[in-house]
Amino acid sequence: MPSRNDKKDSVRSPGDEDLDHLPQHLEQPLNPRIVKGLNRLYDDIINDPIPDKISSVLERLREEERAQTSGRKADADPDEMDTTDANKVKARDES
Amino acid sequence: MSLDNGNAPSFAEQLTEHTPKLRAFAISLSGSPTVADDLVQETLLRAWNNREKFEAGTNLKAWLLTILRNIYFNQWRRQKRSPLTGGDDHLNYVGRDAEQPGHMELLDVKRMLSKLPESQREALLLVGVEGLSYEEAAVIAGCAVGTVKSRLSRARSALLEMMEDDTAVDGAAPVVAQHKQHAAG
Repeated sequence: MPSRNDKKDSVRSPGDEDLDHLPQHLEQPLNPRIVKGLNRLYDDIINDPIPDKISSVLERLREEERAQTSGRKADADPDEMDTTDANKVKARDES
Repeated sequence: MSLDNGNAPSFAEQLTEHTPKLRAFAISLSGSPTVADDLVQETLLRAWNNREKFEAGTNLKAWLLTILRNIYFNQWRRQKRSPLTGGDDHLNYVGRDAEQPGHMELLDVKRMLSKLPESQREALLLVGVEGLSYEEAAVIAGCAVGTVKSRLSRARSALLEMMEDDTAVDGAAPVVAQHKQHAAG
C-alpha cells in the first residue's frame, strides 16, 4: 500500500501538534448541524451522475480487465479455445 | 491482487463502486469539481497501474483515499499554491437539487469548509464524514494519530466559532451555545 509508512506527504500546519493523549473534552462529537451539512454535501455529490471523463476511464479499465481475464483463461486451458476458431481451422485443414 | 476471484467483484468493478464517494471526498477537499474530477481520474489510473501492490482483503477505500490525497497535496506543493485558488468554480458546487430545502445549510457548510486550513479539512472529512478511525485517518494523511486528533480538534473549534458568528449575525437558534454547555457539562 503506497504511502502507508511514508510521512513525507504529510502537510503540517502551524500549530500542528501530536496529541496522542487528547484531553477528553476535546474529543467531543462534531456538532450535529455540521455533520448534517457535511453528509448532505456528500449525498448530493454521490447522487450526481459520474462525469463522462471519469466514466470513460472506468469503462476502459473494465474492458482491459475483461481482456486480461479472458486472455489468462485461454492461456491456462488451450483446449477451451473458441469452437468457432476451431471449426475454422478444421475447415481450412479439410480444404 | 487476484482479478479473477470467483463471484467477487473484480478490481475495476470495485473502483467503479468507490468512485462516487471518492469524488465526494475530492470535491469537499479541493472545493472545485473541476480539480476533483481530474484528481479522481488520476487516482483511478494510478490505482489501476499499481493494482498488484494492493493487498486483497485490506481496505480499498482507504488505499484510494491515500492515493487521491497524495496527488492533491503533491500538486499543491508543486504549484506552490492551493488548487482552491486556481479554479473559477471554487466551492460553486451546488449539487443537482439546489432549490430544495437545506440548500442554505449546504452553502454554509461549504463556506465554512473553505475557511479551514487544508490539513484540518482533510481530518474533518476523513473522520467526520468518511467515518474512519483516527488511526486509519493518520495512515492516509501520513501523520501521527495525535496530529489527526489535534487537527480535528482545531477544525471543530473553528467551525464552532464560525457558527457562533453566524448566530450572532442572523439571530438564529443558539445551537452553538447549547453545544458548548453540553461540552462543558
